[in-house]
Parts: sequence; structure tokens; C-alpha cells
Amino acid sequence: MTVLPVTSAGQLDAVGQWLPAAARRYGANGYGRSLDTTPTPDGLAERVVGANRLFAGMVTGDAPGLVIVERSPWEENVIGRPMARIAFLGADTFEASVALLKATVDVLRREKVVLARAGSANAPGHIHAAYGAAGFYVGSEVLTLSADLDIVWPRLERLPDCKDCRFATPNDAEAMARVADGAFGDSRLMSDPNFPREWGNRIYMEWARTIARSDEHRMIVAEENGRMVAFGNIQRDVTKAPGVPGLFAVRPDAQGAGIGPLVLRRIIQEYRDAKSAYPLIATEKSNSAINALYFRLGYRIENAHIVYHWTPRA
Amino acid sequence: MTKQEFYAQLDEILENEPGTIKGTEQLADIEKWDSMAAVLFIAMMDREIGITAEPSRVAASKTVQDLVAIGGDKIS
Repeated sequence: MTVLPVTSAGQLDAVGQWLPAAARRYGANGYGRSLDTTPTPDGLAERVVGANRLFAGMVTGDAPGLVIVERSPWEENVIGRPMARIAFLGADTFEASVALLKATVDVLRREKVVLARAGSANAPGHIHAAYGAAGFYVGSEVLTLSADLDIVWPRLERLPDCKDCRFATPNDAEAMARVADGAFGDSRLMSDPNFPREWGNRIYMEWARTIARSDEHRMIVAEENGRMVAFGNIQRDVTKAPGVPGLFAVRPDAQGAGIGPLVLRRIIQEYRDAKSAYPLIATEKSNSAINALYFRLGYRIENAHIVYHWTPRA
Repeated sequence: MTKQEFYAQLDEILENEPGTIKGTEQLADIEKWDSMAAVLFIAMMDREIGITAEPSRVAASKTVQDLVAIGGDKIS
């Protein structure tokens, strides 16, 4: 089966009749209010020639398929090595899926990519099987949680207000990086045996710094004896639905003493005060301690998807 | 505060039926003993006994009796 490199949007005309339904079938992730943006044919065409595009390939004929692979420039800047993500994989047969992924792997090796990730979206089984056949493996399972704040808040309200919580300022960036240092030990970027733990840790630390300086996010930080021990971020505009607290961490040496719930109480209070009805939370299934707290408060799984990894070492 | 009153406070924190905590438990065996329970415990100690329980000491506690010990002679 021949995979044709795609270097211009016009080439997608060859799969033009197939693409609209395929974009929904293979690109949608979630349902209802947890639904990520479903790609459109025009959106896919833009990505094929986008600035971050690393590779795009298609299979035509009776069993069409398309793969779009993009660089991950932000992570690349942090660790100084090429990283990538599969932005879209759609194919109606296992064989076409494998062919597209094997062509992708050839490019990943040629470009010396150290880690490529792919989200499973709502993909059918043959896509999952193809990832395995092409040398990808499960990196993590990501959960999207949701809850009615009228259920969550009464449970959090039992807690005292966090006296040592405040909003972060850009000057807190380094302190937040110190909180992030080592705090995400079971996450996919730090527990993948084929990806150096130190690189994953660096990514989380830089993520914390970036949020501290961000115009889009606000961070609640908690301090004990003048030392920052925890943070959790919320969107700056919490009236936008869904709001997704993106990063939440408690220093490993401060865990187990209740600071996490206090920070979460403050975050949820912000959403509640802004009358945001249902902030969603994105978390990895391996984040056992914080996930247990979310479920105890009344959060439920609204969506789940697998993140596959590929590394040259695997 | 008596030990029985202390155990009753723990039951309330853990949303147990009254009388569930007997005082012999390992915290790891109590399903709802988590960070949320820990902060409710700290708040309870402050409110009911007037003691500021150090979060690190609470986090290091392994048994219900370890929690009792945080109250010192204010729990008999």
C-alpha cells in the first residue's frame, strides 16, 4: 500500500469525498460538553501546510486515509530535542492505518524525534490496533472530569478558607517551578521508561513558569512559612465554559496534609463566584491522590482517551 | 475532650456512622482518610481544642492514636 506524501492542501481533493465524515469519525474526542473541537476538512487542509507540520501522508483508493504529524515546538524548546504529535490519523482499514503510521515512524526516525504522542480520540478499534502494530505504546490515559458545582461546593465548603492562598504573579514563576519539580512523578512524561525522566520534569517546571507569566491563566498558590507549597491554575476568564484547571501540584514533601483541598476550594470558589456552571478537569488516570479527591467531591468521568507514545528507544 | 468525643469528631469528618472509629485503626485502612480529611482534622483541632496541628505531623501520622497524640493532654 503506497503512502503519498501530502505537501499542499489541494492534494486532499483526492480524498475529498471521504474527508468530511472521516474528520468527525477519527478526529472527534469526547461527547456533549466534553467534546473537543471536531476537525473540519478545511482545518485539516490548513494543518497539512501549517508552520508546525512535520509530515502529512495519505492513502487513496478504496481504503483512504490521512495522517498529519506536527512538531511540538514548545516542548522542543524546553528540552532542546525534536518532539512531535500526531494531529490527525484517520483511515478506514487497519492496513491503511498501519501504512500511514509506518511512514510516520520513518519520518520520526529521520528527524531524530525523541518522543511522539498521539491521542486516541473516539477512534475505532482498528486505529488502536494500528498504533500497536506500528510501534506505538500506551503512554497514559487522560480523563476529563466534570461535576455540578452545586454538588461539589457544599463538600468543599466544609473546609476552612485557605488563609495562605493568593493569586500568583509573574514574579512567582521560579517558586512555582520548584513546586512542580518532582511533583508529577507518575505522569506520562515522567514515568515513560523510554523518555528520560529529567526531560519530563523540565517540561513540567517550564509549564509552571509559563502559566505564571501567562495572560490567559491565573494561578492560585499556597504558602507555608513563606515557602510556596502548592499551586493550581484556572483560566483567567472563568466564565468561558468549559474551564479546565490545567496544572495542579503540591510539593512532594507537603503532600498528605490537606493543602491540595484548600487550593482546590479556592479555585472552585472562583468558578462559583463567576457563576461558571461546570468547570471540567483534565487529569491523567495515574494521578491517584488528586483524582481520589475529585471523585470524593462529586466529579465524574465525562470523557477518557488514551495517549500513545512513540520513542526511538522502544 | 475525651477520647470518645475525639473519635466522634473523626466519624463526622469521615462522614461515618457514629461509633465507627474505635481508636485502634491504621489510617491507611480508613478509605476516606485523605488530604481532605486531614485539613478538616486540622480545622477541628483548632476549633474544638484550640490546638494548631502541624500539617507535617498530621501527614506523618499512621494511626488514630497518632492523631490523638497531637492533642496532647487536651484529649483524655
